[in-house]
This record gives sequence, structure tokens and C-alpha cells, in this order.
Amino acid sequence: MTLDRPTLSYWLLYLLICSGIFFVELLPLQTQPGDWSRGDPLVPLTMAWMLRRPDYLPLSLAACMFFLGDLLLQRPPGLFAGLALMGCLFLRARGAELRRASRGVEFAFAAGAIIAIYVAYRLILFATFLPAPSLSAAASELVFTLLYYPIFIVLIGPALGLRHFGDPANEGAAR
Amino acid sequence: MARETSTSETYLRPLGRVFALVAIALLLLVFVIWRIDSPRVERFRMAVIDRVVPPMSWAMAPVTAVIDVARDFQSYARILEQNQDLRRELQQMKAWKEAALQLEQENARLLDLNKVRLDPELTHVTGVVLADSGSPFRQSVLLNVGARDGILDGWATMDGIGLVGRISGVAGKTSRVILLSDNNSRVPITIQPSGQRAILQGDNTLSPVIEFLENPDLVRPGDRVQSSGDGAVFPAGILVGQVTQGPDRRFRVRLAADFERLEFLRVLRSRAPEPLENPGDLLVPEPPALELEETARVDEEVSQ
Repeated sequence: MTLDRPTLSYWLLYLLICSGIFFVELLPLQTQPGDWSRGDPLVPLTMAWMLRRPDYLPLSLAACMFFLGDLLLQRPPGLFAGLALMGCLFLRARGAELRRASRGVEFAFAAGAIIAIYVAYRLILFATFLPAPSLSAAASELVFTLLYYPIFIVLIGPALGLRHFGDPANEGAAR
Repeated sequence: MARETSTSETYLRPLGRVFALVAIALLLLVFVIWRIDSPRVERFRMAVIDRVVPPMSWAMAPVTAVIDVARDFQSYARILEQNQDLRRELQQMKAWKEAALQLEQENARLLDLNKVRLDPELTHVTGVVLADSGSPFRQSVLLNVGARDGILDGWATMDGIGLVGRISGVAGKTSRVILLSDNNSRVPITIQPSGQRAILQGDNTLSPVIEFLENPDLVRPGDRVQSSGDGAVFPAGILVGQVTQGPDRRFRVRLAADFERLEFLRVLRSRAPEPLENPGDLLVPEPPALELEETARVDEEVSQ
């Protein structure tokens, strides 16, 4: 992979969005315990990016961001990052087909990967006798994380130039 | 373009796959190491946070301030209602103030009689809350004081009124406070009129549960809860809150500290209590021989 200017600017953009996400999550606004979670936008963002522009997001960068997220957000370090990376790789391996498929199919695959990540995370927490969040809280986190995916596709995707290659409008540009 | 990327993809794919496997294995290895030897990895985590969060604080402070202003603005809508509530509370508070003044005078007189010396080593460092835990499942805040201010793990932290939590994780410029409401928080307490000892156990709600209570019949809702010095971790006698009883009949504590807005926190410097050795010496101090002679001489002079 060559380090030309568009590649570098995409890296910087990804870094900027990630630090924005961490920034918002770390703001000292919620010091009271709550029953629900706002979800984790980092996983859907990385998935959407890896499906559309895999050549502009190196694995090492995504892995670093996941790991930093584990450290900053007080999760067991490495576990969620490893699972999220597996999910992203699963989608990336099917990127070529999913890019030709419709948006519904793409979302279904991404949602399946996200659900698998969270289920595996919870199972491993139980298996290693670590305290897991309550079922309702974990379910709300999962739902919000799933909702972020279409939001990233619809709102930020076109603005970033993350074109959907299956769109008839972009078919010519992609070929 | 598509053809180009596809050729480069086939070229890079085996290498990329190996790299991906290595990355996943590394991440899971970190998790396993953390599960086995958590203090070392937690120190690493604090070091990373110490590097990452303080540079963000200059941007966080104004954003937090703006959002707080917006929240305050929302509360203007209910201002009439609030005003009435406040007036009613003020009436009650005046009665309490009168009682407090009398008690203060009485207390001062009694202390004077006793010549009590309050512990001069119980001083505090005040820190500003930099960030929260970022997750609704973990209740902790990050303070802007750390090892350079002499903070040590395990010190008690309070806001102006009551206990908030304890220091767990210290880096150079920052330290983390585990709040009483966190799942991992356990604090030894005394319930006041009956003097019973128990453990306050956080369960991710605003009112932690009282566990290991010896005789629940002696405890009533409304009793004062203070920290006890058990285990020599905490200074004793810091106000924690009041006992309440939930619908599930378990005793909980309504915390005295205001957890809604944690802004400035006091970290109490606590020294380890000096151990008492040789209890015999304590009762009968052995004076050195020289002093004995001198006192004898003084005694003679006095008698003459």
C-alpha cells in the first residue's frame, strides 16, 4: 500500500471521527448510573468503512482504535477489540460480494456480525467470571449500536465519498 | 480502478490474513494477561489514559459548561414549582439551622472540656473531574490530580458533604475514583445509633446495598451511615448517607454526596495507623537510669 495523499487524508478523517466519538463518550455529563446505554458507534463506523473502502483503512489502525476504546471506556482490555476486529474481518472478506448486493443485504450482514460480537462478548464475560452488565442494558447497547450503522451509511457515507458500489448511479464510477 | 484494486488485493491477501490473525491473537492475549495479572495491565491503562485524556480537557471543559447551561435553561420552565419547593425546604432548613447552631455550641464546649485534638494528618487535596467512565455500566470519574500531587491508591474521596468513592488507579497527572455506586465498590461502614458494622456494596444504582449486616432488627430507615476504619483502608467517621429500605426489603443507603453533578472532589490523605507493639511498654514506660537519678534528686530537693 502506498502512502499517497488521499490515503493519508482518509486515515486522518477516520482518526478524527474516532477521537470525536471518544471525546463525546468521555464528557463528564453522566456521573449517575443509568439503565440504558448509548451504544458504541465505533464498530458500525469501522464496518461501514471496511465494506466500502477497505483499501483506505488499514487493519492496524482499526485494531489500535478498538484497543484504545477498550482502555478508555474501562472495558476488559483486548476482548471486545479482538471480537470487533474479527467481525470487521468477516465483513471485509465478503466485501466484494456485499458491494454488489443491495443495501438491505449489506445491513443484514453487518447486523449479524454486530450481534455475534455482542453475544460472544457476553458469553466470554460469563465464562471468565467477569461481571457482565444487566441484560436490559446490554440489549439497549446492542440496539443503539445496530441503529448507528444505517445512520453512518445514509448521513456520513456520501459525505465521506464512501459510495455504495451497488447503486446504479455509481455503477459507472465504480467500473 | 476496480480491476487494479482486485489485483493488488490478490497480491496482498495472504500477508493481510496473517497480519489480521496476529492482531486478533495479540488482542486476545492482552485480555488473558489482564485476567491473570490485572494490576500490571491496569497500570498500563492508567498510563495510556494519562497520555490521552488531559490534552482533551481544554476542549471538554467548555463543551461540558455549554451543555450544563442548556440543562439549567431547561429547568427554567419549572421555575415557579421549584421556587415553592425551595421555600418549603428553606423553612425546614431554618429549623435545622437553629438545631445545628445549638449543637455546634454544645459541641465546642464539650471539645473544650475534653481538650480533644482532631487528627492533624487528615488533610485533603482537591481535584477537578476531567472525565467520566464513558460507559453506563461502570461508575468512575477521572480527577486531574495524580502521583505528582502525592495521591495514593485507596484514599477516600468526598465532595463537600459525603463520601463519593475511593482512588483506584493513579497515573502521573490523573487518578481514577471508583464511585460508591460502581459494581466493584465495597466500603466498610458503621450504622450510627446502633453502631453496627457492615459493608456497603455498589450495584450500579444510586443507592448501594448494605451487606453483611449482623442484626437487621437494630437498623431503621433514616439511620446515619458513616465509614468505619475497618481494614485500615479508610479514615473512619466520614458521612456516607442515610439508611433507606427499598420495595425489596433490602437496606440501602441514600448517599449524602450529590452524584448528579460531580465537579470538584476532595481526596483525603490518610496515613496508615501506627501499629502498637509491646503492649507492656505502653502501660509501664521504662525510664532510663539517668533520669531516674535526677527525679530522685528533685524529689529530695522538694522534700527538703
